[in-house]
Amino acid sequence: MITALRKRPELQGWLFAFPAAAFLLVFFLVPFFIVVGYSFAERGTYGGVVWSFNPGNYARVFDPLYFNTFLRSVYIAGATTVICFLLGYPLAYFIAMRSPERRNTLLLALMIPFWTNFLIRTYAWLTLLRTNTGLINVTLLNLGLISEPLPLFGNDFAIILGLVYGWLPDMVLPCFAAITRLDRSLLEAASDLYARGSQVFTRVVWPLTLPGVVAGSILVFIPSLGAFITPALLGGGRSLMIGNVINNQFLAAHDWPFGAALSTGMISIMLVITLIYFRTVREEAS
Amino acid sequence: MAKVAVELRNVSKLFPGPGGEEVLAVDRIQLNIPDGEFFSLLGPSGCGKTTTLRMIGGFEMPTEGEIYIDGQFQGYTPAYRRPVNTVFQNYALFPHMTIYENVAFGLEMQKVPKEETERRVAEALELVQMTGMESRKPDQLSGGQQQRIALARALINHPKVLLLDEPLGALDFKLRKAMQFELKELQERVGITFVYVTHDQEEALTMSDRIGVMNEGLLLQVGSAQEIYEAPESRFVADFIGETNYLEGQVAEVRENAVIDDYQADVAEVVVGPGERILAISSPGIHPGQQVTVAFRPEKVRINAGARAQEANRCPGKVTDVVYVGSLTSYQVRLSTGTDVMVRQQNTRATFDTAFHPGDEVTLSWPVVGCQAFSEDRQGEEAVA
Repeated sequence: MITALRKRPELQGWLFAFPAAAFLLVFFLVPFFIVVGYSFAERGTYGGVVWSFNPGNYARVFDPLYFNTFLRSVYIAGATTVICFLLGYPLAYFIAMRSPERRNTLLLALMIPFWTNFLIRTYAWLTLLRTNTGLINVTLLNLGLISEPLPLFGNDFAIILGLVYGWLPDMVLPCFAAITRLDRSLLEAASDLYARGSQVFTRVVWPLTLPGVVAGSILVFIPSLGAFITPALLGGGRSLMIGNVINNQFLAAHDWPFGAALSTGMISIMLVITLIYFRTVREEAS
Repeated sequence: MAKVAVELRNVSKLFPGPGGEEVLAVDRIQLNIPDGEFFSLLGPSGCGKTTTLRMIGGFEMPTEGEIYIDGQFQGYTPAYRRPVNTVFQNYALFPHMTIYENVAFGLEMQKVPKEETERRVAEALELVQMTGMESRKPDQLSGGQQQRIALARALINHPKVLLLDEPLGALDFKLRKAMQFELKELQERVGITFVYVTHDQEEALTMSDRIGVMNEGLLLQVGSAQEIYEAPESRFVADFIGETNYLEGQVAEVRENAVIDDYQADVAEVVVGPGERILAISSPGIHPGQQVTVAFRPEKVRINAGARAQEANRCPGKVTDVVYVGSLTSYQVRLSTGTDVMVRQQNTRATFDTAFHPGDEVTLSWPVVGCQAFSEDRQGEEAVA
């Protein structure tokens, strides 16, 4: 076998890729096709899956009851992404413009909160935001600043807040990478050629760091779209996202085929968005 | 007198150093660059030449002193409002823009009408022989082509002064040589003042009208290529540009405005050993009794058999080493004073043996003009251009 590899050096790369590729094949690609298979099956009388060809699951996805949850999830994930960008890009810019030692300290500071389990951190928000017993409303009521508790919990606001909190570093890191890669002499060249600060940004910095912004947006948008812990805890059981509906179909309603159809629908949205990303990056590169 | 394009008055720059202490990158520079001159700032890396250029460009602000461009005091004027343009060391072409967009960028920022922009881009590309490259991206061009685009992008704005920061540094040897001549020729054609930063002494000598040699933040000497090479006023300048021989000695006498070989200058008589006296052109401020260094170039020295010699300066010695290098032969001679001297003799006639051999007793002789006396503490003073 070694002789065969020596004869064909191009195969050596495949050898390195094999373990990860095999892992993903067995534990990702196969289950994915099982889910797609389920989505065309029928629900058994007592749950379970009865194999048949039943595209009706997909017709149900477009039932306003579910489809509106889809749209709301896209809206919440989109708002999360936009807010993460508005907060994350200036922060990434700030960090990238520090000295290399300073950058590492700041990046570490950014990561430290994430050493705590995500579930625990989301529960922490619960104690802050809860309508009647949450720390924020109790404090404001006691100070007499408000007479009614603020609607901080059990709504889209709470979910978006929780998601932004959870995924902000995923926006900051790719933006940071793109901004540090930016050759500073390009900024000087632009300013040498009569561009003011704002023009240097719109004409040089922004187009050259756009791939980082797009990568960060995908890294935030996709997990936000599929989120279910955050809406389950901070949505207060009233405000749901598609992740919760899928969770319910599998674990509560025992309708695996319909849950699988919803999953496939969600994966399709993510796929479309990822393709848009790759096309953007390729256009930037060419 | 010609109009002054760039004037530096007592300009210094302090940078915060790594340990908290401040580093003096540029030390009280005084400089006048007349309009239309090709001026080079020459020195080793870290000598402050790039910082000086960046202060003229407006990318760094002087800690002390004043900078005038075209007679205008610059103060804290930002780069985008200065009448200068820069060619960066790594060209700094915008990778996401086409060549046309790159070259047109400065005009676009100044809101020049579209038709005029088109005409001037075409002219600028023609000037650097890059017509037809408009729609390419910078990474589709070779290093030399990118260099030309960077020039076009700067020159299209008709700057009062063009600043060039080691623009040929990234090119290979042959291309560098070609570009040196092209740049010089271009500068003469457009008539714009060039301030050119380089660490390459040959590059500075070939291209410049005048050269300023810098070391450790100080501007040591300003002069034409010939003045810098033939009459260095400090050991650093003599060392940095070409090879030099040194003799140490004490000044016996200074003859002011002496005429030697049709050349009028202050001449110092320097005692370099018992009974050995050397005549040398005196740098400003040399006085009798002073310890000085006498510098002279290896190719100015003639090597003579026995005690016969014609030039004013003579010194006996013994050949210690001979290296034949084709176009010339290089000898090392130990003088009677104990100092080793390098001698280079042009091989004007083909022979299959060298003229002298190790162990030969010879007399070295060299003319007064091209033999320079300077004091070692000259290093600490600033040259005045």
